[in-house]
Order: sequence, then structure tokens, then C-alpha cells
Amino acid sequence: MDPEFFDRMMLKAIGEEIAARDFYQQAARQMKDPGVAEIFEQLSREENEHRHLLETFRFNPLARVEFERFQDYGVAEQEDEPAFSFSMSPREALQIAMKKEQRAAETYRRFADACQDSEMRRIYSELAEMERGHKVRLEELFVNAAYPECW
Amino acid sequence: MTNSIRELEDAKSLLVIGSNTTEAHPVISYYMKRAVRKGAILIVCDPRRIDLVRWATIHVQHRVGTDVALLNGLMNEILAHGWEDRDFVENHTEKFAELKEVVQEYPLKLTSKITGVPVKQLREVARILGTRKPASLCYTLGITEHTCGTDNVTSCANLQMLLGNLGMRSAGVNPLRGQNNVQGACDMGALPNVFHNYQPVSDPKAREKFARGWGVAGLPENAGKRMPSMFTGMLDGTTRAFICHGENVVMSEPNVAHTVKCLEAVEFLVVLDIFENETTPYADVIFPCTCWSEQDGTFTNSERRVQRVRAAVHPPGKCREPWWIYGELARRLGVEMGFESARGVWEEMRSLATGYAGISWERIEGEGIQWPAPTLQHPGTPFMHSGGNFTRGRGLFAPARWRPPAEVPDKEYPLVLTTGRRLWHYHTGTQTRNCAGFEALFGEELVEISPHDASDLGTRDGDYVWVVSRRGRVRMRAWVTERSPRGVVWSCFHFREANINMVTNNVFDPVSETAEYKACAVRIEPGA
Repeated sequence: MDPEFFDRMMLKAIGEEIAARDFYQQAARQMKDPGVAEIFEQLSREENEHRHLLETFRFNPLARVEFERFQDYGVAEQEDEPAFSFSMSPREALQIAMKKEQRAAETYRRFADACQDSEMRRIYSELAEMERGHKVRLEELFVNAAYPECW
Repeated sequence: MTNSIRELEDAKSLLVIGSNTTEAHPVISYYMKRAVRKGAILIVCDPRRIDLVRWATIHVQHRVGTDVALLNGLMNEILAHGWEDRDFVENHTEKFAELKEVVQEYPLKLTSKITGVPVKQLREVARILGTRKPASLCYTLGITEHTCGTDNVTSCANLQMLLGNLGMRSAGVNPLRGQNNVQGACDMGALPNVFHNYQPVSDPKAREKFARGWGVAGLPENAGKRMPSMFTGMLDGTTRAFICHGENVVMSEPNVAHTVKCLEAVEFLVVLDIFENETTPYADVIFPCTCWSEQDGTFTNSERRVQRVRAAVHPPGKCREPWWIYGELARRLGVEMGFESARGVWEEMRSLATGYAGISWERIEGEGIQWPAPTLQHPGTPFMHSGGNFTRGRGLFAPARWRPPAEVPDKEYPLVLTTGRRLWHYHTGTQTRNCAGFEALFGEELVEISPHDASDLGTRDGDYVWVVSRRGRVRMRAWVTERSPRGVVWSCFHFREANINMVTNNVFDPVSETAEYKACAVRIEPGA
């Protein structure tokens, strides 16, 4: 594995997490619905944790990091992505967030598939799993919150 | 139900309020009894000494129509002892301060005065609920069929949120549905304000989605009418035509005289039913429909489980499946529904209701699946709001203040009438009254009167009496029984010969427009 390439790759991944954190942070400040703002704040905190995790990984490239495998029911893939607005509902906020994680996982998966170097492929695959784990967690939140029951 | 039926048996405590479960939901009551055998404490709150009381640790016999006061008093006591789930309240709810302010108006002494429940018992119930989790709360029409029905429901939700009894197995708010598919009917938009999966008609995005899905334009953006408004609309001409499907409204609506007056006034009445009944004489057109054993389709039960139903026998004569009748009506009105079978209807529904999207015909060939199941891989959802996540984000405490029923006893009408269902009959009897076996088991309606009241009235068990209210009178035999507390009489609407809805009050909850079947004032007169 080329250490310089690894470093560049990790910096890019960390940059993505920082961008996501900032996006959620900014969105949280602008949301009209306090419930939605809270969801975005929580997502922002989580993206920051992901960033720290990747930073640890970057400085210790030999560590065999493996992310937990989750059962993926493909909820994000089926949902439409609503347009971003300051008056969005919790349901729409979660739809946006899980679509974001879906795209991130797909991007890493494509990188992994394109890699010749087996170690690089493994690392990209793990990053894809990490994002998929985030997606699945958001999907769980979505399924629990998106479907009202009328009493 | 936020929970599954089977989860009830693993609750540490069960609060059953306004639900005669063993008679109205015998299968669900089985899981309640199993819970008791496994050590759960069962608290039954009901003005009557219903059958389920035999399994209860505590029977809270509160006065008819005092549920809000009872629940507020219990919450007050829970807060006084710090038994609330502070983490849940802090992180998953809002407007706690408003709730606290209201429930503090209900100290135990006042609660006892309103409800008639001894302070000692209120204290004990609060202690049990506050210290034994998970706790499931189950309610039925004893909660909803009041002019304060919405307040009753929100008070149930307030209690469970206060205790953190939501979003986990065996802990939730569980309305037990009155019919086999009332959940499915609501899920599929048989309500005036929502499309499938409770997507509001007022939401332009939802309207666009459904207009596209149905291939139509100009879907109305305002909610339609609920039943009471439909009926009064017949009198003022704003309801000109009425389709009545599987609902024998002359028997089931409160105040029969008012219902008949409305049906006589409406310009055009269409009835879809399996037999002629008390409503069909008013119909301009009757469509004979298939019954449950003659048709394919699905039922969605109280626990949100979608189950396949298959025709076991051929329908008699010219009976047709309802989807065919509606399809033909639509075609004659210029819209092609485009389905040729019950399965076709199902495919359309799940394409528009994403919570149902993963429930394919093949997947429910054997066992049903509980929605939400948004994809074909998704296993379904046994309990909702896991981790305290609600549709609106945080759960909203909606405090309510107690107010009495619209009509309370007075000198002229000194007794409270409350109504319900019997084990042996179903709804207006269109099905069960045509069944010799059920007739043999329970063939005549009775009014249940307490021994005290019977003694005061000089009424003996089996005597004919008139039950009289401001709206009408009905004659039936008296059943002198301790099931009724003093001052309360009880009866049902299963029997055309003695339909208690001759006297019930056509007043409604302002939000849900559910009628106050559970409380009105009556007197008993000799019926010879």
C-alpha cells in the first residue's frame, strides 16, 4: 500500500465527515421545528465522532479496523430525497440524512471495487461498511419515526 | 397498538382502562391473563365489574366519564414521589411543565371526590405504575366514546410518556380496535383527512403523489366530513348522497330517531351489505356484497399485522366483492380504477403507502407482517417508536382538564346509562343475529341494573322495564347484577327488538366527532 495515497484517501474521508458535521450543524441552527433541529444536532455530533475515528485510523494505518456489519433493509434506497428546506419535518430530515449516508457508502464501495491494491480495497470496503452502518442506524430511526399510527 | 399483542404477556404491569377485553377482544384478553400468570400486576379501571376483574390485582371502579381526572390524579401522585422516568421526559418529550401544572390541580383528595375511587387505592395504583416497568396500557371504546374522548386518549399517552413506557417491548399505548380491519381501513385512508398511511390531504406533496398514482386531477385539499357532520348534512342539504357500506347505521348511531330522520331526508342512499337490515329500507339502491369468507384480500389487525384472507366459499346469487362494486361505480363516473382482483387493489395501496411497501402478497402467504415494513427485506415492526423516537420528533404532552359528560343524571333522569358489547354478538347483529347458535347462547337484550337500584325501583331480575331518556325509550328485561355499580345501568345495541341506541345521546367529541355512547342520563320505568 502506498502510504501517501493512504494518507490522501484518509484526509478526503475526514474532510467528508467534517463537511457533513458542518452541514448538520448549520441546518440545526436554521430549522424552524425544534425537533428537527435536535435531530440535526445529534447527527452533527455523530459526524464529529466519525471524524475522530478516522483520524485515529489515519495515524495508525496498520490497525486492522473492522466495522460492525448490520442487516441492511435498503430503506434509504427506496425513499425519495426531499428538497432541503428550513420548515422540513423530522421525517424529511431523516430522509435527507439517510440518503446522504447511502451516497457516502456507495462512493466508498465504488472506490473499493476500482482498487487493484488489496489492502486499499479492504480499507475502502471498511469505510463503505462504516457509512452503511450509519445509514442503517438512520433507517431504524426513520422507520420508528416516519409512520404515524392514528388512534 | 404501539406494541404487539403477544408482548402484553411480558409486561410487569398492565393498565386496562375502558376495555371489556374478555368480551370484546377475547384473544387479547388471553395474553393479559398469561401476563398475570407470569407475575404481572393487572389493574382494571372500569366503572363496571367486568369479567376481566377476576384476574385483576386491583379493580379501580371510577365513575363513568371521569377518566381524565383519574389519570391526572395518578400522574400527580407519580410526580409527587419522583416515579416519573426523568431521562425519557427530558430527552424524548416536550411541554412537561405544562403537564405538571395541570396534573397538580388533581391532588388525590379531589381526584377521589370526582372519581369515587378511595385515596388509598389511587396511591397504590400510582405506586405500582411508578415502580413496575415495562407497563402496557390498553384501552378501547370506554376511553374514546365520550365527548372528552380525545382528552382521554391524550391523558393515556401522557401517563405512558411520563413513565417512559413507550418505544420498548411490552410498554406502550394500545388501543384495541373494535373490528377485525378497522386498523386497515384507517391505514388506507378511510378517514376524512388523510390518504393511505395517514398522509394528510392538506399536504400538497401528498395530493400530488396520490393524483399521480390514481391518474386523476384536482384532489380536494380540505378534509371531508366525519359521520355526525355527514348526518346533519342530510338535514340541511349539504350531504345529498350517502354510501353506507357494512355499517347498519340505524342500529349503530346514537339516537335512532335522529338517524332515521337524516336517512329519510337524504336525496340518494346506497347501501352495501350482506343481508337486509334496519338501514336497507331507507336505501335507493342496495348492492349485495360478499362477506368475509367469500372474498380475497387482507385484514390489518390491532397490532398492525397485515394478514391474507382467502375466499373459502363462493358468494351466493349476485353478491359481488366490494372492490368490484366500487370499480364499476368509478367506471360509470368516468374513472378506470384499473384493477381486476383484490391483489390488484393491494398492489396499488402498497405503492402509495410506503409503510406497507414491503408487504407483498407472497410475504404474507403464511404469517402476516406488522407495518411499518417499507421494503421487501424489512421484517416488519413489532413495536413502534423504539428509543423514544416519534413522528413529530419529541412526544408532546397534551394535558387535559376533566369535564363531565354532556348529560349527567338529575331528578328526572337519575341514572347513568353506559353501553358496550357482548361476547356472543357482533355490532348491530347483521351477522350474529342470523346465526342460530349465537341466538341460543344469548337471544335477548337485557339492561343490567345493580341490586341497589333494582331494589329502589322495585324491579326484579327478568322484569320488563323501559329505559327512558330525553331522546326516546326502549323496552327490555332487567338483569339485576353486581356487574353494574349503584347508579349505573348498562346495555348493548346488538338487538333490533331492544336497541339501546334509541336512548343514547348524539353529542360528540369536538375533535374526533365520536359519539358519547358511554354516558347519558336515563330513568327506568316498569315495562309491563
